Order: sequence, then C-alpha cells, then structure tokens
Amino acid sequence: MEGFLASCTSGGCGAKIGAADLHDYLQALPQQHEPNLLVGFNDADDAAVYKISPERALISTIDFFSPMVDDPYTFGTIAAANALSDVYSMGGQPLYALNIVCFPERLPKKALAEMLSGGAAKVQEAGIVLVGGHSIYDHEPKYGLAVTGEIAPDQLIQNHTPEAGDVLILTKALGVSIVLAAARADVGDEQATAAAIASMQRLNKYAAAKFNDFQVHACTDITGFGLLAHSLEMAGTEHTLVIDTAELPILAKAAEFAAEFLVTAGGERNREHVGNQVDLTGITPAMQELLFDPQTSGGLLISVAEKDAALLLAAIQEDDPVARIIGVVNAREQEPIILL
Amino acid sequence: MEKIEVNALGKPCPLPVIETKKAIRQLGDTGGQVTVLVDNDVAVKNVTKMVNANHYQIDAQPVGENFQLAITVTQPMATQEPHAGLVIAFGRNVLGEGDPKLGQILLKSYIYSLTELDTPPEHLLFFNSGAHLTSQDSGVLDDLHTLEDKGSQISTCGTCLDFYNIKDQLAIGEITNMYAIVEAMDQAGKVVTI
Repeated sequence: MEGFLASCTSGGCGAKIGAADLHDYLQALPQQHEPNLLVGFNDADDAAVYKISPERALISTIDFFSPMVDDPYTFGTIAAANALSDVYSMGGQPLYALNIVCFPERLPKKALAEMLSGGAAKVQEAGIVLVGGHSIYDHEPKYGLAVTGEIAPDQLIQNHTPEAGDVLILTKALGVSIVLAAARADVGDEQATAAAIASMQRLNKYAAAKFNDFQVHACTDITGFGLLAHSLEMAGTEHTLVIDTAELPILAKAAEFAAEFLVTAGGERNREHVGNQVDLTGITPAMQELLFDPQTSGGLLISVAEKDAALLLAAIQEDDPVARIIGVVNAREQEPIILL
Repeated sequence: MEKIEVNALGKPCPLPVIETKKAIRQLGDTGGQVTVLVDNDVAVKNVTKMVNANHYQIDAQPVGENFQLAITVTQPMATQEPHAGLVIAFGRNVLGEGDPKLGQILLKSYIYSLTELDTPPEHLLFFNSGAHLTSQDSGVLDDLHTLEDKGSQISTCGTCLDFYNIKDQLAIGEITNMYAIVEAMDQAGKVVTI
C-alpha cells in the first residue's frame, strides 16, 4: 500500500532499541522485591512471569513495531505472531491479547482495518481471544499485542538455563531483515521475499507444542537482537554454546544478499553490542551478517537434553521442516560462544 | 603431537560432525590428531566428507559394531604470496570498536598516516558504511586525494552507494562491484580490513 511502509524509518524488530542502550536505561529503574515475580526485567528474559498460586503463573508480554512490509494485513499477521512468540518461548499457553495501535490520520482507515484483521487472524490461529486494546494517531503506523498467558511455575522454561551436554535446535531460518532490505533496495528476489514473509507470519506455537514430552532446559525466541546476542544470553556465565554455522537454517538468497552487504542498521547495532565477546575468525563476512541479522518474529532457540534431541527435532520438523540441530552446550570454556 | 578423543556414540547427526569440528578447532595452528568414535555409517560418511573438504587425512576402522575415525590435522601448506601491494578494505567509517566519535577521529588519523608511508597502499576499497568516506561530506577527502596522487587506486561498492542513496555524492575514485572487490583482495600481497 502506498505510504504504509514508505513512511517508516525502520520496521520490524530491527527498530528495537539496542540491548546495551536498554541495559543502561533499565539501570535507572528502582530494584523491586516481589516474591511472586518469577521473571522480571532484571532477568532480560522474553516475558514477565508472575505467580498467582502455587500451581499457576501468568506470563505477560508486549511487543509492537512499525511495518517492514507494504501490505497492512500481512504486517498485522507478523506483528501478532511476533508478540505471541514470547509466551510460547517460555513454554506457556496464551490466554488473551490486547491490541496496541498507532496509526497516521492521513492514511486510509481501510489500511487500519486490514492491519487489525491480520492481527486478529493470528490471535484466532493461536486459539485465544482479543479482549480490547488502545489506539492513538501517530506519524508512523505501529502495531502489536499485549499478550497474557499462563504456565505452571515448575514448567517455566527460561532463556538462560541450558545444561552442559544439551543440544541446540533452531526452528526458523535466519536472514529475514537481509532479504527484506534487498527487496526495499529494489534488488530483491520475489520468491525469497515471500519465504521471509511466510517465516515471520509463522506462529511458534507449533514448535513449542512439541516440548511436552521432552526435557527442554532453556528456550528463547530470536528477535531483533539476532542469533548471537540471544545465544550470549543463553550461555550466561556458566555455559559455552558451540554453534556450527554450516548447520544453520538460512533463507534462500539471504547469504547472497549478505555477501553484497545488503544489511541493516539493526544488524550493525547488534554487531557493536556483541563486540569482541565472540571470536569471528574464520567466519565469512556474509555469515557474520546472518549471525547479527535482526530477526522479526524469528524462530525458537531450544536447548534440549541430548537424549531427546533427535526425537524433538523430528516432532518439530513435522510442522516446521526448516528446523535444524545447530550445536551443543558445553560447561563454560574460555569463550561464551564457539562458532565452527 | 596433541591428541583429542571425541566419543560420539549414540549421538544423532549432525552432532558427530559438530564435535569433530570443535576438536579440530581446539588443536589450533599446530595441528594434531583427533580420534572420533561413532556408531553408524551415516556419521562416518558425514565426518569423512567434512575432513576431506578441509584437506585433512582420515582413516576409518570398524571396532566391533562401531567405527573409529583417526583424523590427522596438519598445518595448512604455506601458500606462496604473489608479490603485490597492500590492499585496505574499509567496511565501516570508524576505526576500532567504541565511541563512534573517537572511531572517526582515529580513522582520520589512520588515513593521514597512510599518506606518510614510503610505499602507498595499492588499492583502497570502501563498502558498507565505509562508502561514506569517499562521499562529498567525508572528512578524509584531502588525504584520499593525496593517496590517489601517490598512485593508490580508490574504489567504492556501488550497491552500498545505492543502498545509502549517496551515489551522486561520490567525490573520489571509481565505483566497483563485489566481483572486483574479491579479485582485488585475492591478488593482494596483504589485505588489511578496517
């Protein structure tokens, strides 16, 4: 749609405030001590988790951003899939969602209706209800959801709790921002763009639904910070993630575009954030760009017990055939991440 | 010679390959021997493919129902460098990591220092945010002109100029493409990446 995407400075998760900046701003907030708060923003996890009874905890998360695609309906589906993802990555079930909407007064209201119905379609696919929302006029369109979910406190899966010997699975292909950057620079590939959009629209519900039977120790969804920043969070101070770049699922054409440096400002911010924490020696420049590429509505990075890895992968691949085993978790060595 | 053993028995693909690669990396530049135990034919084939692609040697022996793969990792043969000059690849508009303001100051000083070399660099390549350095509003144009006068070739990536929408502001040197960049790097005596 004319003026929908063009009015935006940067769309999708690529517009996220850099992790380092965010860390500084959050320092200013008061420290909280609330025993029922199982996960708060001190944990840098995907969502907040609040225990309301010994058997039940609420998962609370909000995500919104400006468009990264031209079609309002498609944008609505991506924004909703992205917002719901945080509940799935913690092992929870969503319950209901609220719309959060910013929309320019000058754009046709039809576009607003399409954007919202795209979001509603994903909420419906998630099997939950939309219960309200809030909308304001703004110079750029922005859309997302505040999602509430639930989980039994002892079933909670956090992002920084892998165990040595675990196997890492990634459920979606990398490179969405690179493929969209190429499309925006008018040197894109129609099929590659369609595949990137389909990937972003895909709910992480299906992969997360397979966790039940297996020992999943840690999980996070890959977002604007890119694979490496999320991997650093997962490694924490106790573990080293060994990732084989040859095994990474990558969108068609993304490596080619990356080799032409069709990359985003968000990717460069991610590179600066990761800095020298990861040794990139021997990793081609194109692969480096993919490792730093912001993933709007990216896949799940799962750390699962080795004995369960092959079975969980097979179960996930029934619905998400691009999922791959990409590495292993070791007890901490010198570096937090070893790239092969 | 350093030896590392990898027990990949019972591990699903691609774990045997991943763990073998990690062991080879751990040996470092001096090389050594990696012994891998696997329990299936597919793992033998996948590890063998990876080893052959890297030009190391592998010897596979059945051990009962399993297989033992002995991999000899040798230092890569020193390649004869063609006698060619220095190529400097500017992939960004700052020098080093840290405050961008400092990075810009350092880069300006770096490029000035290049003008003081006895033998000027043969070729300067500018891509990604480095493309801003050859643009009208760049603060290093004077030094780049000095280098050009001394014989350095200056090329900027066309895709990058298009992407940042500054093609019409290119103030020095020629527009190049990825093929030519790769070729320049390949034929260089030494490549320095900024």
